[in-house]
Amino acid sequence: VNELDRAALADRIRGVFVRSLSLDLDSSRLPVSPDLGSLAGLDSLAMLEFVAGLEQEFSFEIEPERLTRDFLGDLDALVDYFAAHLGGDAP
Amino acid sequence: VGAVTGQPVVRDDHDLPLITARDLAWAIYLYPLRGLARVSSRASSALIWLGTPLYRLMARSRRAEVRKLLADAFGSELSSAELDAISRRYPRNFTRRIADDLMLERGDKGIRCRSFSGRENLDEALAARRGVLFVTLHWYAGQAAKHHLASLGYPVLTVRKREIQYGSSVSRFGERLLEPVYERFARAVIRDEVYVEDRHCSLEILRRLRGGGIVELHLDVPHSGHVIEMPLLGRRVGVPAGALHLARVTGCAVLPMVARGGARSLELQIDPPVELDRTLLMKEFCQRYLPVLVRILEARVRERPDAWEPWSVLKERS
Repeated sequence: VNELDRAALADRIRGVFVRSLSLDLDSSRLPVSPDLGSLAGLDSLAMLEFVAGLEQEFSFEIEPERLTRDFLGDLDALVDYFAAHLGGDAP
Repeated sequence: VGAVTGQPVVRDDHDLPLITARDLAWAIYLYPLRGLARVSSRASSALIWLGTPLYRLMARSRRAEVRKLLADAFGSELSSAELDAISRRYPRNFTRRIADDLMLERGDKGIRCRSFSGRENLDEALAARRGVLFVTLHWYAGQAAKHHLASLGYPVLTVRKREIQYGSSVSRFGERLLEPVYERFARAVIRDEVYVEDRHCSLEILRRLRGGGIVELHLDVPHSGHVIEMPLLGRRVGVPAGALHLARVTGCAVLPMVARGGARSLELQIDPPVELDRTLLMKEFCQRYLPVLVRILEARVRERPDAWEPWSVLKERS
């Protein structure tokens, strides 16, 4: 996955983040590589909405072992993960 | 499930008395009685025998409150004599529950299950491998039921508040010395649990469900700000909607669970899965199905009102 695709993926994830949490915010105004977990005071249910949003956006279920705040809050890790899945190179 | 403040509860110690009779009773429970229960199974029977009249004496006003709540909830469905009889059972049910806890801390050997209906509902739901969410209320026999289920090969993850379960202590002695001990004791009784205050709570539950496991959520305690106001047993209360959030996201089966009796006379009932249209948007999904779940469980309470523990909680929330 080239850098252009990674940037597009990051945009999609940021978009999911903003939509699933109903944030009154333009996703393009988020930092380029934000710590998502620390944004918006994410509570436990909000994290669930984010997972649901990601799964709907990318049309597959995230493996249980990936369902951690550390992973879900790390945009770079999410981009790597979805890039691998979408590119057929899932770990 | 889980709105999080992350802030510890701050109380002003100066307002608290040094010790109260209630905390003294809990100290006797947590130290000598608990110690005795470790060496003799008769200790818990003795606790019921001796503790019931003592608690009846200490909780006279509570019994009157329970009677009033029952009257509000049931109206003309129950006669005055029935209201008296049910509210009279409240102290005994309470002492039996805390006696059961002494036994459950040591394991599930003493549990006697009188009946288990709906096991096929659970097996069928688990076979779908999407996980099972028990929606339930605080039954006196709830812990015994989960121990029994675990012994049959159905471990259940309990979702609960981290805070002390016998209620915030009202003395400095209780707050400093009893609450931490009670907390450790409660953890040993419950064993498999996650706290709603934890920010990873929902993810922990999600992992369990995705792994095909069972999670229990109570609808009679407002865990978080994610609640929908609705009537429950004659009172308008905030019912937590987290269970339905989880159900919609995970696709798990939602089964109402009822536990009656006590550890030595357990009656366990698992209802068929509630049919859910998961194509609805989350808000509509919760608004449509939360009242359905509440009505099912409310009907179970109406069948056996004395099996439900938190009549007094209703009052605090009303």
